[in-house]
This record gives sequence, C-alpha cells and structure tokens, in this order.
Amino acid sequence: MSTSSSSSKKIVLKSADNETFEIDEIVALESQAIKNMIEDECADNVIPLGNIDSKTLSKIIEYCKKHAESPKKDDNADIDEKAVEDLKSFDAEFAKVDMPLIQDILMAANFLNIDNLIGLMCRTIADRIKGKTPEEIRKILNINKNDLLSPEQEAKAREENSWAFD
Amino acid sequence: MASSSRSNKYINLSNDIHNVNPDRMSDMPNNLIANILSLLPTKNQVVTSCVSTRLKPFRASITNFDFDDEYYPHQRWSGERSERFRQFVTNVLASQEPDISVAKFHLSCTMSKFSGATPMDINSWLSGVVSRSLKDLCLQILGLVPVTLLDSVFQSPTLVNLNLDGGKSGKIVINLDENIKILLPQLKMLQLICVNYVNDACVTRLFKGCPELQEVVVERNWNSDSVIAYCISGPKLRKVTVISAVLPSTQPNQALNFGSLQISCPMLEYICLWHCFPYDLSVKYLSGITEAHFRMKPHDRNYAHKLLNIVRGLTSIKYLSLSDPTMKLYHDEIINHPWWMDPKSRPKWLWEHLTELYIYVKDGFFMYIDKVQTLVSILREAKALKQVTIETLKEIPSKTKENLIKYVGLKDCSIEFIRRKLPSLDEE
Repeated sequence: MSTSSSSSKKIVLKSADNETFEIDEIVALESQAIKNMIEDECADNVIPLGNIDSKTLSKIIEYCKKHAESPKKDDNADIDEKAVEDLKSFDAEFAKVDMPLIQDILMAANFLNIDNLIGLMCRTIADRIKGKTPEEIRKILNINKNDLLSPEQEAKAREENSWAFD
Repeated sequence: MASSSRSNKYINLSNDIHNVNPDRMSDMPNNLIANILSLLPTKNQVVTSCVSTRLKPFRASITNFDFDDEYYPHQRWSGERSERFRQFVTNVLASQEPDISVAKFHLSCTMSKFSGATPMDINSWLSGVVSRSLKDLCLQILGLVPVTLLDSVFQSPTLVNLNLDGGKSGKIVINLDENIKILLPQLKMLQLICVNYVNDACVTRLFKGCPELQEVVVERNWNSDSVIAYCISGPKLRKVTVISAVLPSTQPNQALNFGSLQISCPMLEYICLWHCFPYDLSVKYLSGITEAHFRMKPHDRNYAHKLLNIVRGLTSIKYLSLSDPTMKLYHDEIINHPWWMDPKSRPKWLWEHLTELYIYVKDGFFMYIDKVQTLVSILREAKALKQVTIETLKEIPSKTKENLIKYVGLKDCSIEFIRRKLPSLDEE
C-alpha cells in the first residue's frame, strides 16, 4: 500500500506553545495547506503552526493518522464496507470532546484546509445546537455577554419569527 | 504569547490558550459559521441567529432552507400555528439578500382550506427561490388542498435534484401547458411521489424536458393520478424505481386492467419494481441491467408470463432481489414451463453473470419441498454466484439451512440467513 512506500519521509510540526510533533509525510498530506507547501517546496524541515496549540494539534494529528491509513473512496469503487464503518465510528468517538476544543479543532482544520475534518466539526456543532433555545445555545457556544442583541432587537426577531420559538 | 513574534495574517487562536472559555464564535470565519448554520433546519438557523450580534447577519444570507411545519406525523392541527408558520416562511424569505444563490429549498407543509399557507403562497415562495439558481428542491404537500405547481419550476436552468411528494392523497398537481417549453437541463435526480398529473402528456413532456436525468423514483397512487399510459424515458437514465400502490378496496384485477407502464431507457442499469402493475407493462433495453429488484405480485398466468419475459431478458444481471410473491411466479411458471424442463431450451445464459442473489420469503416457504427445489435449481444454474442472502421473518431451523447449503453445492458461494424485524411494504 501507499502508506509503507512513503512512510520513510517525516515532517515536523511545531505548535504555538512550541511543542514539536514528528509525523509521516503521508499523514501531513491530509492537510491541503501543508500539501501545497510541500509541493511548492516552501516547507522547511519544521513547519511552525503559530496559531494552533499542542492540545488541538495532537487531536488533529490523531484524526489525520486514522484517515491517512484508511483506503480512499476514489481509489476503488468497491471500497470495503468495514473500513467505511470503522472510520465512521472513529469519527463519532473523535467528536466526543468539549465545545471549546471542537471549535479550536474546527478553526485549525480550516487553517490547515482538511475538508473532512471541517465537515465533521461543523456537523458536531450543528447537532449540539439543533432544537435548542437561544439561552441554551448561548451557554453551549459560550457567547460573550457583550455580544448579545439589544432587548429590542431580540424582541423584534422573536415576534417576526414566533413560529420558530415555540 | 507564543506566536506574538511571528506574522499573524491568519486567524489567531493563541490569545485563547490561557483563557479557558472564550467566545470562539466571535473569532470564527464567516464561511465556517455559514457552514454550521446550513446544516440546521431553518427554524434553528433563525433561533441561532438571535443569540449574538456576530450571528445575526447570517439570518439574511441563508443558502440552505429547510422548512417543516412539523404536523406530520405527530402534531395536532392548529389553525393559529399554521398561520404563524406561513408568516415565518414569508418573513424569512422576504428578508434574504436577493443576490445570494440558494443551494437547497426543502418545504414540508400541511394545507388546510381555512388557515395557513395557500397554494398561492407555496408558488410565490417557490418562484422566489427557483429564480435564485436553486439546485435542490424538495417539496412535500400534505393535507386537503391541492397545489398546482407553477411552470417556472420546470424551466429552471440550475435544478439538479427535484423531489415532489404529494402525500397519501396526491396533493401536488402537475399541469404542463402545451405552449410552455419544459426544460430542466441540469436535472439528474427526480422523485415523483404520489404526484397527480393532469394528463398522460404531462408525464411524457416532463421526461422529454430532462435530457441529463440519471435516476428516477416514481410512486404512483392509482386513485389520485389520472394517467393512463405512464411512459418513463430518458437518454441518460440509469436507475428507475417504480412503486405502484393499489387501494385496499380495489380488486387486484381491476387495477391491473388500468392503463400501462412503459420504461424505455437505453442506458438502464438498475430497475426496481414494487407491488402491483398493469398488464400492459413493457421494459425495453433489458440487456444492460446489472441490478434488479422485483417485489411483484403475479395475479394470474398472463401476468406471470409478462414478468417472466422481463426476467429472461436480464442477460447481464449481477445482483437480483426477489420477494416471496415473485418467487411463487418462478415456481409456478418457470419450473413447470416446457422451456425450463427441457435442458436444451433452458436459458442458462440467463444467470451466468449473476453474482449476488437476495430473496425474501415467508415463513411457510421451507415447508414446501417443491418451493425449496425451485430455489435450489435457480442457485445451481447461477455458476458465478458469490453471495446468497435469504431473509425471513422467523428463524429457519438449522437442519433446513444445512440441507439447503448441501443441495446447492456451490463451492465459492456463501449463503447468509437473516431475520427481518418488521414486515415490509410488500407484506401489506
């Protein structure tokens, strides 16, 4: 498989809090941004990620490792159903973390351009706020008290859309 | 701050490292917020937009609409609530920025004569979103008032997926005037669930107007739809599913005499026919079909022969699914038929590509030796068979399973027995 042939090449990522992570290049290629850097030959031995802390980065590497190991959908039409199921349950487990970490992973995945992970984190956030009241959503997303709508604005929105607030 | 020495032209999360619970939504790029909101029903999108000034502007730039008045299946009818639903949809659509294109518009609405949305409302909502480069339209109309769709739905240059569901009593009406040109040049997927067509020509013209169509699902309600000859055609149609429901009070033979069904698609690869069909059933271009699902009820010999001829034409079949009534057809007509009894005329070619077989049988099936023999003969003929799945409601005795595997005697084929939890559509 492709995993073993290119596993010799290593990439080092450095987090905002100066922790370094040595990973196989194939794992790093899950990030379209890093892939572009490598292809344009503008990646040094160590890629500094000044806006991603080590806790977030280690989660992202865990995700990329698993997805790099799994067979890609476009490789083969008759993809093993078990592999698909396995990846699904990995994703479900992966998303069982607290909201601040999910949001950090989402923003970092957006920065690193990892499509699947962006999708997974967006779905996770959407699932958690679905069907909730504004008060509950503020709590879940930890909305800053200085950023609330004025009472008049909120009353107007509730009145115009009263059906949605039942 | 760890990253303060470097360029921060991208998002900066490092400020938050020492702050346990900051409001991350205020830092989040617009594309991510829009992405999250697009996954929610519109009701939740609107509620979420009220939680902060950061999220408020997203209410006017919704690209995925999903409105459901939530009556079906549990809510009790309330005129007041329906009226507020009507106002909600109208307000949300009216407050949108007109230049943003709409990816998806899903609407499920229960119609009443006395309150809530009217057919005019539905069409005015539709014309607004169809004109904004709509790709995916899913419309479900329930209740008592029929809605005749406006022509512009069938003239959209951008629509890729169209799903119309008229509910049990077929409350979506398609009436395509001869003078209007029908063209859905991008449409790939079409679902017509209990739609009421004004005449036969509407069906024919609709299919003619979809040159890129790849997949169609039609569910017909004999009671509400007034089509006599239903013709499905398309130069690129690969998958066709037709489900025909008959009213419980109707005699089977009455329904069979009613009209015709013609499927004429040169690229056909997949066919699924469920339930009752008119005698006048014709499927052209059988030889390209690789996957077929038959869950049909052969009412008499003539009908069975009709079906049999379709099955005989499946020369490239790889996956075949047969239900118990269709198996009965095999037993009564194939096994006792002269061309089957005579080895020379036996159509071995019929099954030579078949790799997977699924059958669903009723519990009594294995009590009858002759029925089991039918099954065994089919299995023995299919030399390429790799996987057989036999589904039943009750557990089959292990002795029966062993015997079946022994009789079939296929070396490279595995037989799997599974139990179904709930009776399916063809059980009634």
